[in-house]
Amino acid sequence: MTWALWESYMLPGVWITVQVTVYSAALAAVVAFAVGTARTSRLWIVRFLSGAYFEIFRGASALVFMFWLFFALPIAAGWQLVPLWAGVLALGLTYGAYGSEIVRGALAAVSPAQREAGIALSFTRWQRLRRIELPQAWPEMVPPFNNLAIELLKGTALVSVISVADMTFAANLIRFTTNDSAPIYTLLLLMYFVLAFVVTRGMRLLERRAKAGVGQAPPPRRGLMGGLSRRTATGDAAGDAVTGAAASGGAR
Amino acid sequence: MGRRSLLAGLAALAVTGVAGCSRVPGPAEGGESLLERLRAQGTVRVGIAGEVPYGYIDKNGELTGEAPELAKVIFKRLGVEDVVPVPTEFGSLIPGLRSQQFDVVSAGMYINPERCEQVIFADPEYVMLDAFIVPKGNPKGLNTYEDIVEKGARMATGTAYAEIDYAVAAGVRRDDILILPDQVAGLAAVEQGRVDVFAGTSLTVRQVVENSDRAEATEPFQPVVDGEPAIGAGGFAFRPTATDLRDAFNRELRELKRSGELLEIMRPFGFTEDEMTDLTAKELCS
Repeated sequence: MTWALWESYMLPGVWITVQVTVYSAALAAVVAFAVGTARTSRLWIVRFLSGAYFEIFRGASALVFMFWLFFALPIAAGWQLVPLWAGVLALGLTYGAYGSEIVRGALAAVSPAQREAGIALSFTRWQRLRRIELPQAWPEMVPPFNNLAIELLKGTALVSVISVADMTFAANLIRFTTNDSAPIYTLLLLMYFVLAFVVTRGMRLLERRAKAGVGQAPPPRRGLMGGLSRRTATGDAAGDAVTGAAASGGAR
Repeated sequence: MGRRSLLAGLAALAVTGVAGCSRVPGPAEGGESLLERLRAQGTVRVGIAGEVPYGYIDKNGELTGEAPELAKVIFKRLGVEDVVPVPTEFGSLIPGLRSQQFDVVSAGMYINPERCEQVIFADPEYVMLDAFIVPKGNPKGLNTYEDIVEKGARMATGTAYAEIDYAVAAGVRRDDILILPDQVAGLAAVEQGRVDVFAGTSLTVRQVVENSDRAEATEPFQPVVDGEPAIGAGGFAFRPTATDLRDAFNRELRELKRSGELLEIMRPFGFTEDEMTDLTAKELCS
């Protein structure tokens, strides 16, 4: 691979991958919180609509949805999305649906006594959510969100099929000039791994802050490679079990 | 993070989201004035399929290939300075053209009746024979589609390639053909022994096996469908509404053919006198 190809396709490709990841993660976060909390609503219609959204977007293929936005929508609606945004929309809405289940699970895991205390203090529904439930549920959400963020990062490779020039797309172009698939795909695997590693470390920082914020002991700091040999009985275990009923410790 | 900065962030996201849409030019606008529109904006977006020697990105990261080079010359004469490549898969060229992702398919696409129902073609700029990628030494002796049927060989070709229909006409079962995204995948499949043969156009096949020590190209041959030679003639494709652009393109193309400049543009990519043609898109569409 020549420097010119690297400079004019691969490096911009890395930047596109980062952009798609950040934008769709932001969209997914908004969707996840909106739908996740809407599913705990008292009104059946809100629960029904958010539940319908969740089932449809969790069940639909992100790739096919992307094709639909890219190839079918312009013909049907007379509007076309810039390819990057078609990709971001498809990924954000789909991963938002996955994320909403994490939000709902974590909210359900907050001890009922906390909710009742809020009612006793005559907090409104919104105040309870914002001041009592979400702050306590948040630390439980971070580890599964980490998983989802990495899944999303790797899922961004899908945008290459709608001609968004991300890393995978650049690799395919370079493949045509060299007629050799093995070296460039190996390099690509490593590049995704490095990006995923950065995401993981970032989310770990977020987890420390989140836990400290509700007075829980943060996971021990063990440097860059720390997590690899960590015993799972401590920090991560509570987080990994979040969609079930995570134990609510006395510290809260 | 303060609530206010969060809200500001959301608002910014919403604004960029709205900016991500653009109006698809309707059939009327796209029809009469596509050439005018291209002239006004000074750029034309061309769809390419990463296939050497038709349309691809070279080692220096530049758009090249017989079709893009021809596009650069013709569009310049039509008053459109910039030719911007939109690389995609071969199978996505026609869907991408129809959904306005680019204005022209510049990939040396074969003109055949099936495709003529979906897009309109300029006259072909070349005719081409087929060839196979086979393992070194061609152990099964495969030189035509009939050989594949006779020897019961496993065949592969590219998504939406015209070669699929040629093979089916020769008696290969459609379900038995392995469809791969491109010629590089085809080379890998032959090298790894997943298939015995990958069918493609002779220039592509010759180019892709150049540095391979496990595969080679067969001699080019004329595919036959229903007793008639199936002429592989490639040209530029346009949206059905863009007749004005297609006609203007045709005028310039005929001029290049008459003056012999066309061959000079295409020679660096391995084309010779034999590949030049006076066929028209109309003849090839019926």
